[in-house]
Amino acid sequence: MRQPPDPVQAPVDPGELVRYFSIAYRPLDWPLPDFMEAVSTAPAGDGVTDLGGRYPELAGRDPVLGEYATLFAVRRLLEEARERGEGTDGGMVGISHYRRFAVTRPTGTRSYAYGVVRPEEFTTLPRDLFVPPPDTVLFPAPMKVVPTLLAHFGTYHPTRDLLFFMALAIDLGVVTDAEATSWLSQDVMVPAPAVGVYPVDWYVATMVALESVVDAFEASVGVPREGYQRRIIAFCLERLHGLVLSSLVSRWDALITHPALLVSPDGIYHPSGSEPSA
Amino acid sequence: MRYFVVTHRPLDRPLRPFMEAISTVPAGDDVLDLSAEHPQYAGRGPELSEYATLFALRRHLQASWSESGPPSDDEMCGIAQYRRYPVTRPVGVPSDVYGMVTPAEFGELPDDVFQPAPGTLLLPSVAQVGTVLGQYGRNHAVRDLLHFMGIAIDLGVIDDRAAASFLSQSVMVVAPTIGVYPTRWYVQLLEDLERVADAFESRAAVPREGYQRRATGFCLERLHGMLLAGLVATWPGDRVTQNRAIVVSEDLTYTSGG
Repeated sequence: MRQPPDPVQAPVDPGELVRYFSIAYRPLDWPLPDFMEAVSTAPAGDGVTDLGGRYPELAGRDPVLGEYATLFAVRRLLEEARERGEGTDGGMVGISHYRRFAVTRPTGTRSYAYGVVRPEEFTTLPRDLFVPPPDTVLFPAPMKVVPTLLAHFGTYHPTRDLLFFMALAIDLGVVTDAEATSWLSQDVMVPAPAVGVYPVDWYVATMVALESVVDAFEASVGVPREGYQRRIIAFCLERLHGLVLSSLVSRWDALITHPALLVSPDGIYHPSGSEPSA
Repeated sequence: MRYFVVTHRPLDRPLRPFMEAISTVPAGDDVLDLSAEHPQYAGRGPELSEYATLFALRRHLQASWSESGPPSDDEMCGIAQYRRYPVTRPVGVPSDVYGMVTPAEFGELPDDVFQPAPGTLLLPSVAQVGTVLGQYGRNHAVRDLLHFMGIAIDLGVIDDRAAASFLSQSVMVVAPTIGVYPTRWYVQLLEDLERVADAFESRAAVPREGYQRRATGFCLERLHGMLLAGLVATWPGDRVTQNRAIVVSEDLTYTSGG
């Protein structure tokens, strides 16, 4: 296992990128840009730092939590750096998820909610496609769902899990009653809200909040699920995360949003669930 | 056909002879206080609205079947609520989703305004609400409905996907408690609703004040509306009558309970 990357040693200028993580669950089939650090919470081969050793409570949880297992580990990493005074205050953190990346300009061939590029094209893309100007939030463009976010979820997953998940999020003060009402009733969602570039402080607070809902859900109403639905908590997290992100977007001045970039060997987006894992 | 009128206070006008007034609070000699038989519902109106009395009615009816057995599938029962009545044809001055009539006009309405032809469902009308979930959240604490519907799914009262669809739809039956329905269906419905209400109150309910104290009643109304839609979907379309329910009031403008 590779050791965790060196922490940030010097204070950063406000709004500058502190670190850029790439969430992985297996070795990448193509090289990442140098500034991205591939991390996981399970052994994932050379070039991927397994944070599962450092945070054993998250080790091997990705079959249930999806990318959020590693996102929660990254939160711990950032928080520990902050507690050591290693200068993440006011900085930004970048997150990509295996083959999904937020981008500063429309890139690739549109397929579903993504712009798709092949690996050989991906390796030629410049840094400023992934890293926005200082103090700018970069996030994936919302997409339309029919007829509502709730009904769209219910088409693919057990509705009761999202109902309870959002109810617990309200109970824990993560979102307000009115925000949840509006979000579940409207016809947009943010696909892959985990990816993007965000303020470190907001990211840490958001992951703490999301994890509190997971803990409450699992301790009270969570039920084991099989196959594709085993990741039901990740699917619920994606919806709640999108709502929390929307409140950041509504109060942040500098924003960039485009369809997320997806790297695909055949240049086509394959929906989650139609492939062994995503 | 038995026809029940749920009330929470003494009647201020005579009912039709075929109507039986019921309550779960003392409400005068001509109102049957079911809390005497079923004291667990006494004083539950502030949380359960009319469902306190309906739940008591369910037990009352089932107890009455202990010797004769349950009624046949096609036996119907009528339910009205204090000043709200389902009607077989449009009556009154439209206001909100109701037709308003004065007490004097109410006294002159013929019986067949209240009693549909045999085998016919009688329902109050629907309202356009944007989405059921959105409408609820604009008026009440949506976390209650989320917990409530999640529990209803867990208890097998509703189907997972149907719940998502219902909460996202743009119409809902207002005051689904009132109408004329198959008695056995209505009793089973009330039994299911009570199971969900009990689980909600023991696991997820939080104390609320004022108008919102009836949160369980509000959630019950939505779940009830969903289950009613399921009944209507199975009933022959030519034997379903749906009109604005009438509200009896000197003031011909409808004012909601909130």
